[in-house]
Order: sequence, then C-alpha cells, then structure tokens
Amino acid sequence: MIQFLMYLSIFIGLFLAYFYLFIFLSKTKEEKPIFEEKKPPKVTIIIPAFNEEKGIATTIESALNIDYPKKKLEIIVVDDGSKDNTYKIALQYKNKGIKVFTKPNGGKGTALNLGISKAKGKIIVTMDADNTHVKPEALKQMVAYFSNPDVVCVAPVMAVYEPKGILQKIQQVEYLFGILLRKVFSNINAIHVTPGAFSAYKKSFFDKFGGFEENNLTEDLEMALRIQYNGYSIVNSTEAIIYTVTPNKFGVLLKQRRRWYGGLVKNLAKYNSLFSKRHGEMGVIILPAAVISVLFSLILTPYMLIKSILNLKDEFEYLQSINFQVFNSWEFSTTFIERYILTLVSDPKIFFLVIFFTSLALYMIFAKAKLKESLNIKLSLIFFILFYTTLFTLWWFISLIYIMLNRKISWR
Amino acid sequence: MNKTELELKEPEKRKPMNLERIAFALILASLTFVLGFMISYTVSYTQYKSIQDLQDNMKYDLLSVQIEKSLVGNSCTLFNPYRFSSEMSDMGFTIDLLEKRFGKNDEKVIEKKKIYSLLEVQHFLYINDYRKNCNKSMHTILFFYSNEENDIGQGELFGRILNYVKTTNKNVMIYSFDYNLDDPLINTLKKKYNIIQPNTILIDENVKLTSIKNSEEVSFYIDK
Repeated sequence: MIQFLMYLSIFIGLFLAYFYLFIFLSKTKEEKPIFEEKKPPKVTIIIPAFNEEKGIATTIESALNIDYPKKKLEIIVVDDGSKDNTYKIALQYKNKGIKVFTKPNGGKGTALNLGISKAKGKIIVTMDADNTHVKPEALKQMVAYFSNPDVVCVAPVMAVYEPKGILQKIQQVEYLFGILLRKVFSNINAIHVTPGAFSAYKKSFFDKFGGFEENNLTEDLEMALRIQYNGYSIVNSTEAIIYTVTPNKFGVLLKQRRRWYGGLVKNLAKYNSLFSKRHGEMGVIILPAAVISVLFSLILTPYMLIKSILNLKDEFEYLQSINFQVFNSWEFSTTFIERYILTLVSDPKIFFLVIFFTSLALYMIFAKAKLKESLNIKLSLIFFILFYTTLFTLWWFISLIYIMLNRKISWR
Repeated sequence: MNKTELELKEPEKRKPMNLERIAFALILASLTFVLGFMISYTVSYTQYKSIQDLQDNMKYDLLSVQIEKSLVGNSCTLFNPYRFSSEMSDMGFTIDLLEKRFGKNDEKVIEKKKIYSLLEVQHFLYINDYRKNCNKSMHTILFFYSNEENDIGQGELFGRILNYVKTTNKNVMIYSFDYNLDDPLINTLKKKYNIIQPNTILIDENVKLTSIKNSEEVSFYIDK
C-alpha cells in the first residue's frame, strides 16, 4: 500500500512538473507592461503595525526609499494598539510625509481596513511592518500591471532577507522555490496566496467587495481567494522583489505556519466552490494538487522517517558489532563502486530522484536569475533537502490537530 | 494609466482549460514513469543475464577442477583456494540485487538461487578438501539466512558481520543459503548439520551460532 502511494505521488509529481513546465513555456515571450511615467496612478502603502518597535523604522525607511513620484505616493502607518514604542517611532516619520493613525487593538484586518478608509490612492499596497525590504523599483513594476483592467492584485517576488541559521536557510530555498511556482500560477490566473508582506490591490475591488476580513487570521489569503472566486485576476510581477525577515526560532516559525495552514484550510473550506471546472486549471488541477500533496506528506513522510530511523538503528547496531572499525570493512575497489552504482540504477526511485533534483535545480536557476544577485545557496539547499519535508509535515500535523480540536490560533 | 483602467469592471470569462496541455503532461509523465521502470528493469535484466554467464563459467571451472583432481589426485600445489572467490561474491551480490528488484518469489530468481546454492556447496567441498588434505588454515562458514519478515533484520545484520569477518580475514570462506528455499540440497545440508532455525551460522562444520552480537564472537572461533 505504501509502495503504491509512493509511486502514485511520484506520478502526480511528474505530471505536475510537466504541466507547470508547459504553462511556464506558454508565456515566456509575453511583453511585460511598462510603467507610464507621465500618468502614474496614486498609490497608498498601508503598514499595519502591532508591537513592531524593532522593525517598524526599517520598514518605513524602505517604503520612503521606493522609487515612485512623491506626489502620487501616500504612506499610512496604522498602529493596531501596540503596547511598545511602535506608535512613537512611527510618529517620528510624520515630517517625512508619513500619515500615522492609532486605534485599539483589533487585528491586522481592522488596521488594514482603517488604512483603506483613509487612503486616497487608487491602488492600495499592503506592507508588513516586520522588517520588509522593498527594492526601490518594485512598486513601479507592480503598478504597471494594472494597465490590464482584469488585474485586481499584483504579487511580487518574495525572498528571504539575509538568511542566517538553519531555519532561515530552509525558508530561503522554500521562498526561492515559490518564485517560479508563482510565475507559473500567474500565467493561468491561479495565484491563490498573495504575500502579506507586500501586495498591491485595486482599491475599487475593496469598494465593491469589502475590505479585509477582520476576524480572519490569514486575511491576505482570504482576499486572494475572494478575488479568484469573483473571477478577477491576480498576476505576479517577477521584476518586483521584496525581502522579508523570516522567523529564526522554531517556536515562532511553528506559530506562523500554524496560522498560515490553519487559515488555508478554513479559507479553502469557505471558498470550496473554487474546486470546480468553472475556475479552470486552478480549480481542477492546482488546488486539488495542493491538497493531495499535503495528504501524501502526512502519510509518506512519517513512514519514511520511521524507516530512516530504523535503518540508522540497524547501521548503528552493525557499526557496534564491528567495534566501529569502519575502515576495515570498506573495500574501495572498482567492484565496490560498480556494485554501488548497479544497486542505485536498478532502483526506479533513484531515476525519479534525479528528475526531482533536476527540477529543483531549474527552480533555483530561475529564482537566481530573477533576483539578479549571486546567491550562495549550497548550504541552504542541503538543509532544505534534509529537513524541509519533515518540517512541512510536522507543521501540517500540528495545524490540523489545532483545527480538529478547534483550538484558537493567535497571531503571536 | 487612465482612471478608468483602475475602475472595477465585470471580469472577463476565464479561459477554458487547455486540455491539450493536460493531455501532453499526462502522456509525458506516463512515459517518464515507464522509462524509470524500464531503465531499472533493463539493468536488473542485464544482471540476470550476467549471472547466467557467471554460473555457466563457474560450472565449467568447478568441473575441470574435479576432473583435474581425479587425474592428478589431491595436489596441494595445484590448488588455489581463492580462485573462485570473486565469482562467488559477484554471484551473491547479483542474487541479492535480483531478489530485491524482482521479489523473492520470482521464478527466475529462485532458479538462479538454486544453481548458486549448488555451486556454493561444490566450492565448499572443494575448500574443505583443501583444508583437510593440505593442512591449510582455511575456514568455512555456512550461513542459513532467512528473508522472512520477522528474520530479515537479524539476517542482514549477521550477513554484514560475516562479510566484515571475511574482509578482515582472507582465509574465511562464507556460503550463504536461503533457509526457506525449497531445495533438496539445502534441505540435505540442514539435515546433515542439524540446522533447525533460520539465521544459523556454522563455523568449520562444528560450531553452531544462532545469535551473534559482534564480529569478535565469530573471530573467536576462527582464531581458536
């Protein structure tokens, strides 16, 4: 049964790899929209902040550095009842044209909605307050996409800001992986998650369909699904690059994932009609594939993990039995290498593993080309390959337990 | 960008699914999937073919040794105990590989395993003769392993320990037999040496071990 599931997951993985490749290739020569310098639309950047005294200054500085006609750019900071110095720090930027509001704590959605109600821009950009670094040219690149009347939201390229430590390095590869994936989804209007850190929306959509859900822990995700549900487009601007500081502690990361995955399950349940032919390839292939991949991870990863632990135990037992005289038992001859290669190539799983690594390499090459910088990701890739699947499954397990027990998931 | 572009219009109808793209992806995925299995099957089948040649050559060689022995008697100078070592080892490895790829109940594998067991016994007798008649310190280990689910872990560990012993002592010859293989020859061996449980190790035809924890336990009887 497990073997069957394993090969089934390999087959689905192969299908998706080809499917995504075809989608990617279908629009490689598409002309990118150009930002019209003469008639820039008014843009409002809203920075909701709750207890962000450590990162708010950097975020505001980054927003101020954005290359956009100053008269057409409005920056609003909404302090969501912080108990630290967030509000005071934000106020220091008032003389630089930043508008600062404060309100009793009510959640990110309420802060964003207050910002939207005060905004004068036709385009609303939501920006996370926790150390978000925006490349100066990013906003112009994103705004250019709104020349297409169907586009309601533009998502940028997300990358990890100066990753340090194992957890951030793993997330670095995960984010790089998402760069090509988001582009592929964008080509068929299947983006169903927009980054909360920095996404641009047409304000008229909020006017017609309402602002962010105030009791939703993944209000950005709900908004993306709402846009899709109403038949509008979300596109990805691969030229707009945003860096975000990701959690570097296991507990913080787990909490973030619990919120994300819990939010994904609840919001997908709410918009379950997206799983239909009416929503094209997104409804029939991409969303179901996302659900199936989680199910496969929940079944196969614990199995593989237990198997690996048992193998390690056997290996330890063997080494113990030969008093750890490893070098005496190694015969490095051509026969040894020949046998080792034969064992590998006679196992079909190895062939599929090679394909997997090739795809991973292609994803990374694309991401590196888009980020236009020399990234040294060798170590990050090793950590990713070793630990990501286990972490991903663990996060999902815990998130699902929380959902089943109906336990409250909080922001912090 | 004019203001009207930023006003919300009725969305355009979503493009219908590109069935051609889905079909192509499915076809290519199926082909790649089959290719993966074909490559591994071809490699395994090449191994199956190679073991046939190896067994044919060995049958011929062992027969010539037997005839040679009949002609000139037990000549210790003509005797080379290491002569078939690598062939035996190659065969053992290939049988193991085929068993993993085609399954232990595969007819082709069982047939090759039976011939392998026969050759092992023939070689075992050859080494025994050398040991006894030429008074050389050669050691033989018969290992009756089991592939059954409950025994396989222990069997693999014993096998690896014995391999280690062989690596560290070239005068040790190991012969592995599938305890559960329905083969008259193996049954005779089991009867002769009173082997009643799987994963039994028989050193120099008289020391029987059913449980070993480390290589030293085996080496102890060899160095005795």
